[in-house]
Amino acid sequence: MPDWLAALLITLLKGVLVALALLTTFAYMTLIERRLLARMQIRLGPNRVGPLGLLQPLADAIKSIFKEDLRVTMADKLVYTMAPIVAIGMALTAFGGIPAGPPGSLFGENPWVYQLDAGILALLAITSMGVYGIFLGGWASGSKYPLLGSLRSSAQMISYELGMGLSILGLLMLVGSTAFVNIVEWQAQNGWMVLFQSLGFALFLVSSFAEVNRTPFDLPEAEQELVAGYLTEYSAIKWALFQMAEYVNMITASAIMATLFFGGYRGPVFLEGLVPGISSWPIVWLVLKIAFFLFLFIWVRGTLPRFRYDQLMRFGWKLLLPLALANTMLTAAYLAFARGAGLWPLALLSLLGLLALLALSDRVRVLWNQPTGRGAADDSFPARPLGGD
Amino acid sequence: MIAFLLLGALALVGAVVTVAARNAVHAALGLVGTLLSVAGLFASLSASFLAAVQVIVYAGAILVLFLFVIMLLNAHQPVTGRDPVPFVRELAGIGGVILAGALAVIAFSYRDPQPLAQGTAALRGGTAGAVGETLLTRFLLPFEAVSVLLLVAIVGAVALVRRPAPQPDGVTDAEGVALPGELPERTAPEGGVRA
Amino acid sequence: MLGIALGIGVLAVLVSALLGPKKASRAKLMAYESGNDPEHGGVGTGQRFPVHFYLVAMLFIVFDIETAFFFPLAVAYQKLVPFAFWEALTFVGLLLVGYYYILKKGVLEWT
Repeated sequence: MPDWLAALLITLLKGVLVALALLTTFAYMTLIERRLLARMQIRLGPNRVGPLGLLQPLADAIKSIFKEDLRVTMADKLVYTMAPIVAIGMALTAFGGIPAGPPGSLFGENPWVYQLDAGILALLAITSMGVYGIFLGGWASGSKYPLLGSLRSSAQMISYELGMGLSILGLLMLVGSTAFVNIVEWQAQNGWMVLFQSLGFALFLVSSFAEVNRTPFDLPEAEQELVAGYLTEYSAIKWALFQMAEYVNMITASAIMATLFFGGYRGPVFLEGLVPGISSWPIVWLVLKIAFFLFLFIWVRGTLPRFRYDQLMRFGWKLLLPLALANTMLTAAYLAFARGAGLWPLALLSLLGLLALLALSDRVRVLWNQPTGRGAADDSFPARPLGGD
Repeated sequence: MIAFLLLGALALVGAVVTVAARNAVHAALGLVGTLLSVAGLFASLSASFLAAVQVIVYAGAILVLFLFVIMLLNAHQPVTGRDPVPFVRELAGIGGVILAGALAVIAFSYRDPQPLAQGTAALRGGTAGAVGETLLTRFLLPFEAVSVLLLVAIVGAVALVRRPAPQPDGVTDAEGVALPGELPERTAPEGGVRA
Repeated sequence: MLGIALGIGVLAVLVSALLGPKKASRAKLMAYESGNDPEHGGVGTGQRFPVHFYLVAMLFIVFDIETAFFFPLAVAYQKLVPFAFWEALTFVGLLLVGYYYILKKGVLEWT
């Protein structure tokens, strides 16, 4: 077998494995989410299908495959079918670029499906394609609620994509590379990025929630206003594919956060004392960190109410964007003039910024809720209670 | 080489769809396909930064704007009727033939003065770092000029959608952006039907 | 990876299309409009949208390009300090002028 063919086959194998792993995670994620939410709301959740409800995802899958696949008469046939496929395609593709271990650590192979020098940039690019699934789905349904929902949600996604891109600039300055492996190795040497970029991480976290359309940013699916947003006219497997895309995006977002800010595939070094070499086990650490962030997604969903649309857009444009720029310039100024003092003062600065933001959140909220344009409504409408700060 | 042929073919298919589609949204989607294929070409030429930016900016931003505008102008339906500009088809045809001829001449007469390896060595793998260094040293002025350009774009975009001032004293002229029906729950009475 | 991912999507849709029942009826295939007969026909006929969405997309492009320019700057930053800092400051400063403008024009307000 020639070398390139072997390489191709191995890549294919890894791709299929990753895709299957993602889909399984998605299936059980739905179950875990329902059980956890039930627990938070003092009820039981699905527990009938199999022990502890463990077969529930299987039942759901079978149901959505055997359901009638409706296509409303006014839909644009081609695009209507294409939209969920695009959504899931982009969602699954994005995950393949994330390294689950150092090069060559997976039975002599690299533990990622593809590796681009652009690293995080390539991932942002693929994520930015995700907006098409939702937009086209809503448009092609040929119905009003989906159209409104998709328009809103595309505006939301592009707005928060900015916050996402800008909030990692400080990180890129510190590392000086966009490749995931370099970012992880930098953290192995200097400590987790979240320490030095706590403000950047907070902004990135919020943007991620908005990018994957999760509570408190799940406006596209605001039942009270838009029925089910872009999903209204979808049923059976196509609906399931959209759902799948959302959850896979969530997993990818968790993986990105873990890789960029929490040391990626490397475990904490202090455990080395107990079990030598434990911090460089491949895959385990990444999976643990992803699980943590997935739990966070569910937790937040069980805790926070939804934003109103105008609050959402204001939050993105008037708070997140300037803050991300400020974080970037803070890091830039620090690196330019005080690099000699080591990295810890920067960590302190960043943390102080974040704490100040939290402490002043009432003040900030009033500030950003105030209309800035001349003659745009009255000046003194009260700050409303918000979903999240 | 196989990747190049494949991506090139995809780009062409997308371009043909863009031109031939009767539905503006389908045309836009064809364009997305072309842009993505071009990004793939960049990536296969190991200009990974350029590829990522191509996707982020062109396919991810500009085409979204196109789609929004198509929505906004309600332009999905094929436009029927005569071209408003006389002879536009003939002129476009002539222009196309000239362009194709020029490209053909270049393609067949161009002799690469540098070997490809030497040409791409300057790119240093086309990573963001290499691009950044060049951008901040050799192309400093254009780089800063871009920010001025973007500033102009912001002002232009806002000015475009401004409504003309309704009254001469112009107190309330700034808010030129109409937002009907943005917030159902603010106008709707309490206790609506919940799903 | 993209091929595999798209393949899974296509496969799922195909399998479901083969296995699922097909008993369409007129009412079932009508667009959902809270139980009323849908008004206007088909994909995007007679519907118009707030120009605000266009504006947001336009501003998104501007800031997206800014971000795109900022990426290489950030990556090469440590090699070129402190000179690069002033460049970045000029770049961001000019954009902030624009940001202030849209803020004052009330573009970021959603009433």
